[in-house]
Amino acid sequence: MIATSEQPEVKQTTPPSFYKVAVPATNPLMPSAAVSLVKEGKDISLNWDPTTPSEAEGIVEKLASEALSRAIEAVERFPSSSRALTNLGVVRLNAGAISEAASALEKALELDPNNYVAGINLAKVFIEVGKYEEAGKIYRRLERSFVKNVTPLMALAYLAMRQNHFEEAEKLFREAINRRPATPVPFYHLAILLLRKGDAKEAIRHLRTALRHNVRSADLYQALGVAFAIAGQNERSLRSFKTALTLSPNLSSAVKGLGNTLLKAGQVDNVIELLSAHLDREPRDWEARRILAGAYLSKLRYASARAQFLQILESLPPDGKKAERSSELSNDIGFTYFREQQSKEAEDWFKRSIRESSSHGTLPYRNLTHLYSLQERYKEALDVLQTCADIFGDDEYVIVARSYVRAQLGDYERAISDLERLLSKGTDNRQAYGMLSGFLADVKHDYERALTILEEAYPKFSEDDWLTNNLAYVHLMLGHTQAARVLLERKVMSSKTVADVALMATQGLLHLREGDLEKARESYKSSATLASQLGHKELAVVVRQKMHLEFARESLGKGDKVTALREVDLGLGVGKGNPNYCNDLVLLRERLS
Amino acid sequence: MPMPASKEREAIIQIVERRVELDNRFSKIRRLGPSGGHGHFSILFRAYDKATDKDVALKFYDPLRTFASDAAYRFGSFEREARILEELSGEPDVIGWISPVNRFTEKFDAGGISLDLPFTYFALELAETDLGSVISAQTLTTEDILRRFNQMCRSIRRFHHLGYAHRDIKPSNFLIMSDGSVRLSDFGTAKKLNDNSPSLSASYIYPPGDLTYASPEILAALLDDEPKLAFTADKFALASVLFEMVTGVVLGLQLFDMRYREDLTKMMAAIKKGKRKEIFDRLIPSIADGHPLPNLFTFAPAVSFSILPLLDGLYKEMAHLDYRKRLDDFGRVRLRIESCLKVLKNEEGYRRLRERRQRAKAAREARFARSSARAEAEKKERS
Repeated sequence: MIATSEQPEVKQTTPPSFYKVAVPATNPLMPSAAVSLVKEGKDISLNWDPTTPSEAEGIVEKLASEALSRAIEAVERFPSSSRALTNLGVVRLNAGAISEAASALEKALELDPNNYVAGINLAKVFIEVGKYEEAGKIYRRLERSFVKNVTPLMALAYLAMRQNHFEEAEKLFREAINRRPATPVPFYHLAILLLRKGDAKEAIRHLRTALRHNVRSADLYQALGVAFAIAGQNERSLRSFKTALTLSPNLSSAVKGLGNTLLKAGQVDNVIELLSAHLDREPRDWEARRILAGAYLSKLRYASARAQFLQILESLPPDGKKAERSSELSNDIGFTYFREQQSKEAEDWFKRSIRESSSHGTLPYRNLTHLYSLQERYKEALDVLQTCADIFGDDEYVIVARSYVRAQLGDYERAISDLERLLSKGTDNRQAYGMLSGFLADVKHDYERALTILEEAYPKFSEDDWLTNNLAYVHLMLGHTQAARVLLERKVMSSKTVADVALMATQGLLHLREGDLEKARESYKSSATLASQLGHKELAVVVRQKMHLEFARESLGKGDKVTALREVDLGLGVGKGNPNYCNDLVLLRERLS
Repeated sequence: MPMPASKEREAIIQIVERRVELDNRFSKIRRLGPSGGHGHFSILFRAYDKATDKDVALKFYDPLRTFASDAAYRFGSFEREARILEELSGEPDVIGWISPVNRFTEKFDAGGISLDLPFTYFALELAETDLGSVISAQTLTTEDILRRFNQMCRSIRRFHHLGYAHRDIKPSNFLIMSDGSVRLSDFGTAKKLNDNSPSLSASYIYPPGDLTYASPEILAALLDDEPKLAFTADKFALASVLFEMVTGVVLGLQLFDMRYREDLTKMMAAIKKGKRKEIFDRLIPSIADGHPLPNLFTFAPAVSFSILPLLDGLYKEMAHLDYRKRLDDFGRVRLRIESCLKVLKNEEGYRRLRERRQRAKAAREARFARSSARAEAEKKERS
């Protein structure tokens, strides 16, 4: 039996697994920012968190204002003191008053161009505002003037890192390490760079060296936990996060790291317990809430996950990314409704996701298409795909999904031509190969073309059960029994997947072609039973329909018209099944009568 | 240019300067600096003292501040300072007391209304400058730093020994005398910890002293629960002054980054009255771990490199964020400073010794390389 691989499932906005790390606060002159290591597939990217001064209250506010008034007073007392101006600049920098900080520090440098602290803080200010060129100039000058001090070199490396010049950054950090600095900072940054490259083992080695410099740094244990998690060493990752939390019980990044790793290790109940307690303390930590929602999803507790998503949605900060985040969350809420088979609500939320940010991503369009396809609302599905294509262009997903929808609407010609065009450009989309070979074989009965397509695909996806099945099937339809047997014997069926249903049916066809009718019927029946067991009752109908069709053809080939007619009638009697097989049966019946 | 005094302050200063003589003792009264010092509640003058035949300083409580909301607390502090000075009279390393509090009234016209303003003052030794000015002027040599810090520690040690905690230690409160010695001054927030006198004002909610030099336990308002912690807080502030003398940078500003601020805010939110110490003791180790004190050499200080690690260790031990781990013994501090002075004295000799050792090491390595090369050549020849 020919088969196309499953249609894409409705998906949640899988937040790429991310871990947040922060530089251990050992050198106040080094520019630093917390960074999220975002893992999407095999790639790890670095996302820098903007540093925004938090709202100060009570004594902390008084401390800030007092520091500022003292610094201003000192400048008034000693207007020609570069040091007084430097301190004022640092106070301003701490308060987030960047331009005032820059002006004070520049004045300090005018008074004393060799003022190291003023220079290095001014460079830090330039990094904050993205003036990397100016910052680099200052660091290079300081690097020449203060050869014994490793901070300018480390800062240059950090600067290269921020500008995504990762190789240069790595080289400079290694240079800094060669100078044997008494600080964990270069080891830490080098480890982050290595993690980005995927070299977790080497990163772990450097983080361990960093820990020798600062044995009680929760930030370093946090980074080590991340490195172990990326290396797939969940046990060690958990231990490191727990150590970080022992050292700093309120380190929220460690709580989230621990949650992520527990989730990876399948300890979902522990994640729920951990994050629920954390969210009691920090209810506005939406990242933690998102991980908690993920935990609920893996426990199939869709309503609980939805409650978390709704809370995040309500408390989203009004920043530049609000629309995009709302879109993602609406999609996720739609996903939870979809899983609970509440199609109307799912549809509404997928639509809302598109409304919130129509150009954020294709996922809500895909989900809506899939939902409509399941409800056989193919025209609406086609409209959604068209809108998606208008915004994002004709990507592979759109072409494949549109071909599927057009085929369901009976427009096989355009479906085939679209898929052929996609394949001619060169693609690694196995669904496209599967679908096209299916249409060519079952609709057009053009087995030669189908064989060409599948022979092109097979070396690329030799492990793919669907394509192997289709190739074997096409070989059988062309009478290449031996080739089909070789292909099917290579496959070990687990008897648990939908692909196995197709393979069993094709096995039945092989037996039929080889003349073993009993085994053939047995294989087809096993295939139909498996489809029913897997909950695909329609597929079971298709398998039975196909069995009768092939048995009818076989009988006709032997000249036994009576048996052939009986098989055709049985095939037409099983139910709706596959329209192409139904067509074939009708045509065969006409021919027989 | 230094900022001139405000109009009202200038009027007050002029009233005092117009006085030919005060208390039949002080004459030639002139303001100190353009605005009579930088105190928010006091005005400083220089005057000739007939009794001692010396120039002295007169510290006035700013009469215009008599009507401020926290005037009771501030005036109480002013009087307390005079009292403590008198009590410490004759103690070395503390600014000398000259005369007790005196008062007079003067007419003052404000917006057409004539007021009888009370003027209160006391006299004390006149200093040359203060440590804050010296740090800003960048004139301290390494030896100056060590010797002055030693004197500062001695003065605080004496002060503590007498049962007082200063509670406002910062560079500007160490005065430099004409002979170069350092004296502790400004006792407005000082408190004798073994007497049971009540606080000046229960309504003043913030901790005493300059918060930029305040230790975490001060910021956490632990003094209410445990007044004796003021002694350890003084040591933290003293270490901050050492940091500033070496680097020119205020330690509190370097520590006081966003995360420290957040940690402090969280800590303060967690602390309930009566349970403060218990909670603080539980939280402070993680805050200390999360905010290691910056290394002195990070700031490229212009002090002798040979003693930098020693000074770094000393300041870090004295300024440990966890008060329970802070270096508590002034005797040990003195020994460490003396070690630094010895290293400094022998720096040239030490440098020569190190060079000699390096040369010897290089010669040894060269000899070893030569003999290995010879052995290698012989081995080749034999084969």
